[in-house]
Amino acid sequence: MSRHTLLILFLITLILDISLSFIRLPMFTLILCVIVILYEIVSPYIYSPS
Amino acid sequence: MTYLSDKYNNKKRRSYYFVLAIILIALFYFWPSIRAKLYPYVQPIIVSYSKSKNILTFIPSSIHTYFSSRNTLSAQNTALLLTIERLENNIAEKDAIIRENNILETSGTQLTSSTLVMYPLIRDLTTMYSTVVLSKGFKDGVEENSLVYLRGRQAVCTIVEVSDRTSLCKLLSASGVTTEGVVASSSLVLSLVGNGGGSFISDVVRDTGVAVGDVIYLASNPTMTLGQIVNITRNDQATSWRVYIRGLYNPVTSSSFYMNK
Repeated sequence: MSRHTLLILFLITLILDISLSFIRLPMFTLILCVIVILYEIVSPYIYSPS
Repeated sequence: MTYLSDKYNNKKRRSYYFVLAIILIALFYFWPSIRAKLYPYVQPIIVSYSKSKNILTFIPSSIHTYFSSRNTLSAQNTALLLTIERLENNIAEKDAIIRENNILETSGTQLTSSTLVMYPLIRDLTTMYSTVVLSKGFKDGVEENSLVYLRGRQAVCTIVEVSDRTSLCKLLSASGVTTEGVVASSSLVLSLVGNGGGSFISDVVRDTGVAVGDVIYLASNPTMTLGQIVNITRNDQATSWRVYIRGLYNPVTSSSFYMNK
């Protein structure tokens, strides 16, 4: 996942969090972070033919 | 050389992740204040998005409306009007519950076992809803001349006849019935003449201290309201003003009546 894609996703989730009534926690951003962290952990072990 | 470059890259990546993690933790921790500060900047985006979405969804429905039959549209219109009525009733009910709770809290009285809840069985349609037959009678402890009220302690009628299981209640707002009321703001006593549908008329001497919005209480029991002044007809030529009073809740449409034993 490139940095640009990540940044765009981050901005989109942030806007969603602000516009929706997530007053306590930015839930979409939190979910995105969890997905990215899991991806970063798992990706080195995934075999890619290229 | 390759080894050193890898080490440098790893260090750089770690510091990058560290900064990122700090930013994210700060974002989550200070989210309520950050959200409040960012919201004004995001609001135009949301508004423009919702506007364009409304336009996009409106176009197909407008085309559909153009080709649909008159009967279907009138049926839809009726259904929508019914929905509005239902929702208005819901709002009124919720509002009444809030008011009732407020009144109970302020007056310090509770709906105890001494409060009798009754339901209307028959409403007299012939004489402008002047009487209501209620579902409780002599066996339930209903007595003649007892005062019956609606939610919000709005006095509506007095018991005139009691049977075993039912009772007949004459509305205070029935045509020709006179009730004494007190204006909350000026403690002025008004003689209210029933005008049907929970409303009253009263003639007062001109330049009396009454205003639209003043709450009228029952003179014999000031813990109960009769209604609110909705209009005052001021005629400079006449010696008196006509005051129109309407109850917050209409006894004709109410489903529960209360009485203190």
